[in-house]
Amino acid sequence: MKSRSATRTRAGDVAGYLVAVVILVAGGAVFTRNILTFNRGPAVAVAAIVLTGWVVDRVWGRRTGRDEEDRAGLDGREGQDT
Amino acid sequence: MSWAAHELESYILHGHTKTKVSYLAILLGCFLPDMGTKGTVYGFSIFGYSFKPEHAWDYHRGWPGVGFTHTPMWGVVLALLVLWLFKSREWALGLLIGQWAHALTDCFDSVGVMLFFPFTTQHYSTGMWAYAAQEGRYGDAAAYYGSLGLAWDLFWLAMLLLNWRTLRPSYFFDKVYPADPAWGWMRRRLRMSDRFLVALYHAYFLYGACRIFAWTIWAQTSEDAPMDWTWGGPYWVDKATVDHPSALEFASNTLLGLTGLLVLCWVTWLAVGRRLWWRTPPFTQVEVVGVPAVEAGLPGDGAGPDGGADQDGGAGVEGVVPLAAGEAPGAKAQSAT
Repeated sequence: MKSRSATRTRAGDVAGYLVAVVILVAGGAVFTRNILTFNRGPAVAVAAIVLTGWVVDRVWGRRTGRDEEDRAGLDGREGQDT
Repeated sequence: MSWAAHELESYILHGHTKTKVSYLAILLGCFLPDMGTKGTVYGFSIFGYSFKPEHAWDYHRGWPGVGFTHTPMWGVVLALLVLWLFKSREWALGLLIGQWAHALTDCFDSVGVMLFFPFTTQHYSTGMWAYAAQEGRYGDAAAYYGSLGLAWDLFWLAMLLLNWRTLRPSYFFDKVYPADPAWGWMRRRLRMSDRFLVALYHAYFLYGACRIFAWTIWAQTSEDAPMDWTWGGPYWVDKATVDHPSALEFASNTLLGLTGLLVLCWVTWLAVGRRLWWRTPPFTQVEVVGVPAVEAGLPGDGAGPDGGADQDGGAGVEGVVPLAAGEAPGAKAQSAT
């Protein structure tokens, strides 16, 4: 079922993980339990990765002209159980 | 108690388990002992009533109290319940592995756990850092990340980074996803993209790793908690400990407890466990009825449903791969094509 898009690291992935780390470390040090609980922390991480990734891939795609290819991996059209 | 170690160890355990096992179950097993108990250990208020145990360590790790949740025997009970109710080998085994890992990890603070409960209430502890849940959540955080507790979490982070292959998306799609119907369910029913699924898989790694640094920064800046690297530290917290018996009593308790636990596990396996285990088929992603397994490329011919090597040796019934609990037959048929 593994698709090429799923295992390929894109600019959006890198940006998403970086944003998640910054929010969790810096935000966690300031807001502590408002972020650092076993349900909020992972939720913040997932939201940061997905949203940042989506935004960065859109911008990256428009600049490089590969918008369609990248968006296909984001909306789940790639990587189906085949 | 350990903090980030419980999240980080789940990835390592999955990577080193040689049979098909659910990652989500391992993670849940790593959390379960503290999930229903940690809030009450720290104390809470509701409708004007406040609850806080007089001796947090006795309530959290002892008996009477909720200390049984941190014992290997409790893991066996939970695994059998899951095997019986949900009929999933992968989840039963995962819960058992995760719960045992939690119990063993918590042996390193100054209170430890009752490893051989119910045969003995003897605590097993290395006393590496001070148990300080009685100081409340923030006091506990400051004490843990101002002591060798920080080193313990960093050790698990380093171990996970050495096992970096378990964090790769290809590992997730090859090993984690095919072992658990929950991922397929999330993809189909919740329409999760590949990126979302991988982010979900990585979420507790990121949370665990980041909170080590976040809590340490907070402890060193806001709380001004001095770092104490001595064994059993930090010196500035009122450390909770348990009574240490004589060497002879310790040895006899251990012998009794170990023997009792082994015998009980063996008898439970013979009486209940093996029947439930063999009655429960391993989870496979593909359902094909009436087609020989060799033709269908199903487990049994050496190839897994996703094209990878099958580790379970097949479903055992030619041409029929049983449904996993909670799986829609249509979804399986679709995935077979």
